[in-house]
Amino acid sequence: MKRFMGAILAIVVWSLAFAQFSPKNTECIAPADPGGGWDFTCRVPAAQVMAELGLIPGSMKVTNMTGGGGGVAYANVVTQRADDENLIIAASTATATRLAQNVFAGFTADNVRWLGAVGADYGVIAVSNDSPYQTLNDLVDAVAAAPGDYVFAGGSAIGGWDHLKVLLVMNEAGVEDLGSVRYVAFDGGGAAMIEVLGGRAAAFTGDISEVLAQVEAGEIRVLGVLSPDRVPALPEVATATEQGYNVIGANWRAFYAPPGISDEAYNFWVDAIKQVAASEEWNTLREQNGLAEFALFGDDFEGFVRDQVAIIHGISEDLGLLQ
Amino acid sequence: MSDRIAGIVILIFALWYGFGASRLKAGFGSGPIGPKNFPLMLALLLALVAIAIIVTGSSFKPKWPKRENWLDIWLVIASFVAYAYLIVPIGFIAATTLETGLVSQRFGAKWWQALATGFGISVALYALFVWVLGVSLPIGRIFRG
Amino acid sequence: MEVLSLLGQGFAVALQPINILLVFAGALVGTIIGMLPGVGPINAIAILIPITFALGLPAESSIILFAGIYYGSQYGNSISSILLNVPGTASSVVTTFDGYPMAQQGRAGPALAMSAIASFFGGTLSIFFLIFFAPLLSKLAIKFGPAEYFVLMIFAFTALSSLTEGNTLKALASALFGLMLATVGLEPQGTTVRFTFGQLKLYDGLDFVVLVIGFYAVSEVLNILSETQVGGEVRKLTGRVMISLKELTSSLWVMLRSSISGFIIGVMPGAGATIATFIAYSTEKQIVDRNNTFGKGDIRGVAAPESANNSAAVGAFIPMLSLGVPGSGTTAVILATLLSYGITPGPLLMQNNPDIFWGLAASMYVGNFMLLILNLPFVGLFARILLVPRWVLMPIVATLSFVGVYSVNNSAFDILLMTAFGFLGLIMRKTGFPLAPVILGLVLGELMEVNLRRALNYSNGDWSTFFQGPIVIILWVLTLASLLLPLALRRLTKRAKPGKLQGE
Repeated sequence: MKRFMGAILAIVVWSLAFAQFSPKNTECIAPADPGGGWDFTCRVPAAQVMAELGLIPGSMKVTNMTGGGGGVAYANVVTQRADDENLIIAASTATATRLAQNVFAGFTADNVRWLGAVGADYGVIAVSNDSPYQTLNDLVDAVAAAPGDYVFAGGSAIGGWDHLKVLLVMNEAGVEDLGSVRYVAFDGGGAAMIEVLGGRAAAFTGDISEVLAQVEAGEIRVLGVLSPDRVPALPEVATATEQGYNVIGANWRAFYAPPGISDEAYNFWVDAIKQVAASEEWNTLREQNGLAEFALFGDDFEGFVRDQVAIIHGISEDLGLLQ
Repeated sequence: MSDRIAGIVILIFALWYGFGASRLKAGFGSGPIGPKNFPLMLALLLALVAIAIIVTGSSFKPKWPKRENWLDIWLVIASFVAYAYLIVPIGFIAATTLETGLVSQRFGAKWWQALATGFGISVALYALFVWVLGVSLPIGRIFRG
Repeated sequence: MEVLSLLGQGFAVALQPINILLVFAGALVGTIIGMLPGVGPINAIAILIPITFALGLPAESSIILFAGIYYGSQYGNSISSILLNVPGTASSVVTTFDGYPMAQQGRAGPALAMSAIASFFGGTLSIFFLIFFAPLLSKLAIKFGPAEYFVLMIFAFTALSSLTEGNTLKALASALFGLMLATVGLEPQGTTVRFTFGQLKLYDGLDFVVLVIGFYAVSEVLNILSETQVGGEVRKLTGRVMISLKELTSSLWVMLRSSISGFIIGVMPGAGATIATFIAYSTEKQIVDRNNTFGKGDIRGVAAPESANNSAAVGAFIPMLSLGVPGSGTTAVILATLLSYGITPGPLLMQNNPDIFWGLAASMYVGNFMLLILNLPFVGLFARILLVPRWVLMPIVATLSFVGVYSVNNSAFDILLMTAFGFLGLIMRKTGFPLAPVILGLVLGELMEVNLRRALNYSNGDWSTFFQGPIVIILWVLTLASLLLPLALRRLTKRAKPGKLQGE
């Protein structure tokens, strides 16, 4: 009897969903511990702003599923919850990087449906305020002449996004042997910055939001921003492109959905993320957190992720990062 | 004697671990010390310690449990394993009631006391974790229809 | 004097009715969370972030609430460690060394009271360090590079000598095993995966909570099962519930030293409260343990780690507030909260947002005071938990372990891991291999390896980097002292008239 009722209910729900998807008991998975970027992406633009805007009924549950740099959540979504229409998952450039480097145990970017991005943190190359280098050109020329004498410190592992940004710039500068560029990995941008402040590393590679406080205090000098245009937070700093290195490094914050969801559900989430990105609530919070505007949704975003994964895969292969 | 056996077990473990470490590949740009050097150092040190344990020996006599106690131990371990496989399908409350009831019974409760304890604890903890602390625990696949 | 007037302003913020209410709520929630294994203050704070936004709380009020949860959980952690031998986090493992034996001897009351008092002592003393030395210490944190961290880990490793329980070789084997466990997962520097056997769930390494609960709680349940007749006896509470003046005075210097060392270690981002507890415990064992009572229910063995971990918890705020670098997982969440209020912690925080800094410092003081008066009256009640029959208590321990472990990653796999380590823990107990060194190795392992590699990366493989610079030299001197001091002291006490000094 219960089963029968369940079946009827399922048919009713299904037919309703066919007309229009209506979310219930929504959930966002942050593939890392609380406190990091993915956790923020779930809790602020998704759980907080979507609820404030009334896009979802009630509140959204946030689950932290740590492991494998996002790989555990990725595998879980693809294999266990492939048709959960009420689920979205936070992602960033780090997700794309790992997908490109095949670290997710055989899963690829095509295994999920990419929904859209709500903002991005552009990359920076910075030095301590008492460093002799005033522009990105000064630093890059010095490093290119004697790569063994300089160490870059960054918050991601070797081969990770912060490391790749340095290599992309050096590659543009015509450095042949990228393996000679030295990089030491730390646990997060803050810890890497301490190395620059303490004089142990020559330069810092990270994101804008990580350097703002130290720039304001006059401890750190940003030499170049890896954005298409100058950013409002650092108006006097030239972009890398202006200085002759055509590198854009955006650490975007976005969401993906399980692969087996209906088009209605997919469109619902794409639209919800669009509305968040356009809302005043989110844009205030976004600016407070040092994130730049970065609006790509639905098919456009899906295409963008595929391209980026292909590009990073190519670079990683060239560098010998892939085994 | 038992220390010598322990020493041999540890030596085998150290060799196995060291072998695993030696087969690791160093990635690009990992610097003068790669991912395998530190584990190899550990394997070497542990092997030396194991040999020292084997050579010196000692009069240490372990107090192994009695046979009926071993039975209890294996039963509880088996129930823990079963719990890990049951928690998602039948849900936290049902799985925990059964599991906790069993542990309670093994520690001397009558069966009705054990079940009441199990049920009480699982409901109380479910309430505390899910409603107060917002930690998500599985409701059980069978209850979702 | 300027500091005093600023602190006065801070108290004006902290003593606003809403903030008093929040610090009380935070302390209470924190204590409860701390008592539960697995769920840390991070979870609670992450859940509360959207609520504080929804309520429109000002930034300083949110931070005061979160800080209350943070140090409240430090108080709560020790309760389950002492009563049940279930440390909720790695930083309360050391508290079990003497706290649990005390509870077994029927002295749970004094142990709990001591833990509350030591926590208060460490928590409040360190606030003064925070107020007076924050700028100075943030400079020290900048000077602390990979080489310094590595030698600090070596120094922490000498704590092993106080955890041997007889056979040094066995303790060494345990510690090396702990270091090996720390190497499981994606290597900390690059993309090589080690010892995961293809399990994606092991990519991030073995979780502390899973290991600690497996090694302590589960193996304890199995151990009791292996020793007792079915039914078992109910434990008794003997003697006083309250702590005696003698016990308190004997621990005064212990708390002072442990608070200072705990604070300094807490300031170093990443080193953390756990290492502080191990160092404080072994230092005190070497200095005051003349009759070899540490590890057998010596109240000073509770005082040392509890004052050290609370002091370290406050110390961790310094790099977070003054450098924007979180010193622990919890301060990372608080940092994220500040950012979402548009406040960027950094060198200018004290200048630009004095309300935040001084309000926080003052409210920590108020909060610790509250925790002390909240905890002491309940000592008798908590101690009575041990009077609950075993067939209720043991299922509670088992279930708390399950929930704690499961909720870390929402993964049933972790329950299997926990069971496996519980069984291994039982075998190790039976064959005389101490468990504490495994935890020490696990805590130190990753930091040791990663800083070794970073330092050698900087120096291009030149090992002399570990012997250069004043901080490194001081740390080596401390290391040698902690190895040689016990030998020297033993000689001295042998020469002196043998007599009972402070034995319990």
